[in-house]
Amino acid sequence: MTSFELKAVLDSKKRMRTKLASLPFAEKLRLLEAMRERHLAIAAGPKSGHSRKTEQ
Amino acid sequence: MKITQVLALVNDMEQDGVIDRYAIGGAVAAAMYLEPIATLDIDIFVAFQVQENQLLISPQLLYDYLIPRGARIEGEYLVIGDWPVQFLPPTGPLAEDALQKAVETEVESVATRVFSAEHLAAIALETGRPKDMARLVAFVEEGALDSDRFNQLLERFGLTEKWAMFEKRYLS
Repeated sequence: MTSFELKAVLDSKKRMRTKLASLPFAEKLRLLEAMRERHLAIAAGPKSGHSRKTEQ
Repeated sequence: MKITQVLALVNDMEQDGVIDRYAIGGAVAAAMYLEPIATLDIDIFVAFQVQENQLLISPQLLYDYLIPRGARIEGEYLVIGDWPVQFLPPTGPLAEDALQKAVETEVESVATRVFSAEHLAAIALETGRPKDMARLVAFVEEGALDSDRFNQLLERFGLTEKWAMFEKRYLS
């Protein structure tokens, strides 16, 4: 269940980091590839926020 | 092109004698020990074969080998497939030691070498940019360092004072 208690949130982040760190190296390289592809797609995408602002 | 394909090509380069020895450093190497953090490039530290009468190490050897195999030059990078790769000579005694003592591993049947966790942490401490400090905190919090080996590196490479300052600022 989602918690908004800060300690629970931080503990859960720590658990997620540890889980990710324990993955095999090959799996982590696949994640790096996916993150890079996503980053490049976002960087290449339209700046919708900016154009909306300039239209007003 | 996947990272493993880049590594296979670098292995070919080593076997063909273009470079002496290589190891992965930077964020890709850190991903072996920590949660993976997004990165746009691959840092590969290389020892070059130095010919007799050759005073300077030239990246031309790398270009001559990799460009016919589909790589292209973009600024400081050689782009292999989708990945910008930065080939770096070891910039000091610590990086030289990291290269010599890099950990042998295998990714999807491709053999490769990666800087040890302790060397990556010591290099982060030595380099000292904000992102290096964040990486060093992650190494400590994740318990990824062998404290004996790390302390030996700190002593050998004159980093004990920097480490004390880091501990005071980030870990206390």
